[in-house]
Amino acid sequence: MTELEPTGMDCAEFEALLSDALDDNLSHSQQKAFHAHAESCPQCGPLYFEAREGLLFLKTLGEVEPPAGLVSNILAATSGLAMQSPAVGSAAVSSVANARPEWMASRPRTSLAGIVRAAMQPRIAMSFGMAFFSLTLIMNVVGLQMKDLRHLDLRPSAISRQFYSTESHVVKAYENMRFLYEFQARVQDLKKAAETPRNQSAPDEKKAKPGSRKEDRGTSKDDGSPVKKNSSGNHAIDSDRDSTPAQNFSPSAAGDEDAVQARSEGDGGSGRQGDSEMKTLIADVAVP
Amino acid sequence: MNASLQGSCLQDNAATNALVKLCVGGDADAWAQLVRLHSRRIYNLCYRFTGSPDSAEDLTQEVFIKIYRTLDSYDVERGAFTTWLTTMTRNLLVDHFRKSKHDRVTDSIDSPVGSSEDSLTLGEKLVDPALSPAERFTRQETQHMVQQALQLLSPELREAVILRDLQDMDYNDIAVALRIPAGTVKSRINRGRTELARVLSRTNRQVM
Repeated sequence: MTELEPTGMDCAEFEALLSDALDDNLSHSQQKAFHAHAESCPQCGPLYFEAREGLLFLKTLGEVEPPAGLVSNILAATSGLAMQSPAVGSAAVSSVANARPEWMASRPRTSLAGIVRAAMQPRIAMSFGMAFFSLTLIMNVVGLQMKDLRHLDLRPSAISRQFYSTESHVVKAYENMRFLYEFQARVQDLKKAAETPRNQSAPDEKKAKPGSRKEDRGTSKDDGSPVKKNSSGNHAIDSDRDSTPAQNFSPSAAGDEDAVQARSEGDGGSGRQGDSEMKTLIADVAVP
Repeated sequence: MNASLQGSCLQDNAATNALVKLCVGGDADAWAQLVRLHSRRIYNLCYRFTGSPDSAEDLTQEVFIKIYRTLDSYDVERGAFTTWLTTMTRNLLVDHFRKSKHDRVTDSIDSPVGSSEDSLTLGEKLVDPALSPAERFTRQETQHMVQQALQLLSPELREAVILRDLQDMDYNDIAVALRIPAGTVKSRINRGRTELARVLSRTNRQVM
């Protein structure tokens, strides 16, 4: 409500005079117009009463008695300043203006000092200690030493090269191990195949051709089809593991000479081929 | 302000200025006298602003350390020593307010402010025999609530009403101390008073 009231005072003027009215610093005419406006204006009336109420509340607060040692503490602190400065005594106080008093020096106020103080707490220090201990223990167990780490080449290109080199080593080692196991399994199969017919059916053994055992090596149990070869040209070991030598040369399967012969024929007559493969395998094993 | 009061103020100012000159000249007794003269007022100002006796004591010490360091920069021509001292105190209070913003608790008006012994007024410590125990208790409760409500005001309004209504400073001196126009001082004082009354009114309604 800013328009001029019949009392001759608007709200802005009323607000400007509010503090003076509460201090009783208004003239008689001003006071009359002020109170008339307060009674007629719906906003300024409550404002006046609230301000007066607030003032009365504030006036209830008396003076607080300072601590007994306040003055002596201040004097001690400032005399500490003076004692620190060599230019004190009859010299001007301004000469000690830049001196840092002892009590202030003992109470670090900078953020860095705060951080250091926080870090020096037992809990934090203990955590740091445990972390260092754990790290050292892990490095010892792994066999790492600080002097080894110093020679580490941590450039991205070097790390990448190291990674691919390690990967190729692992792949080679895996391939060699695979081949070795495959070869061992094959040799064991052949040994068993050679021993079983001799123990179980000696007459059949006499009838059987010496090359038939080797011929069977290249056939599968079920259909006599050639065994699949893997990508490296080696024989897959799975079918051989499924078909034991005893089964291959059992009287029902291999004891029958015709059946054995038919199987060796189904193999494509690969008796000599099996020998040559065996030699190749041995040569491959010798290479790594 | 009548003539006799003005005269005494001028005398006080002249005496203070003489003390300041002696201090700058290296007179330790003058410095002690200056501290005794003004420490109570500064402590009260700090206490009413912070609501904490410990903070008030620390801040009062800090104010006088600062004054001691920069006393030679005080220019008599630029204003009264009291105003200069108030400006220094106000700046430190504002700094303290900013620093302690995170750990300030202003949500509970019922929580006590500091220790009861420290927050007793001089009148309460001397025990007014005219007041009955019940009246003393009521008065103490009111003071406690007003102090709590004061903490809920914004620092701008709080410092204005403290300087005017508790420190009895002149509007012009407040304007110089706070470095704001006199009109703004009056406006802040009015707003501070009304805001305080509203806070206390709300509190009373909650209690009822």
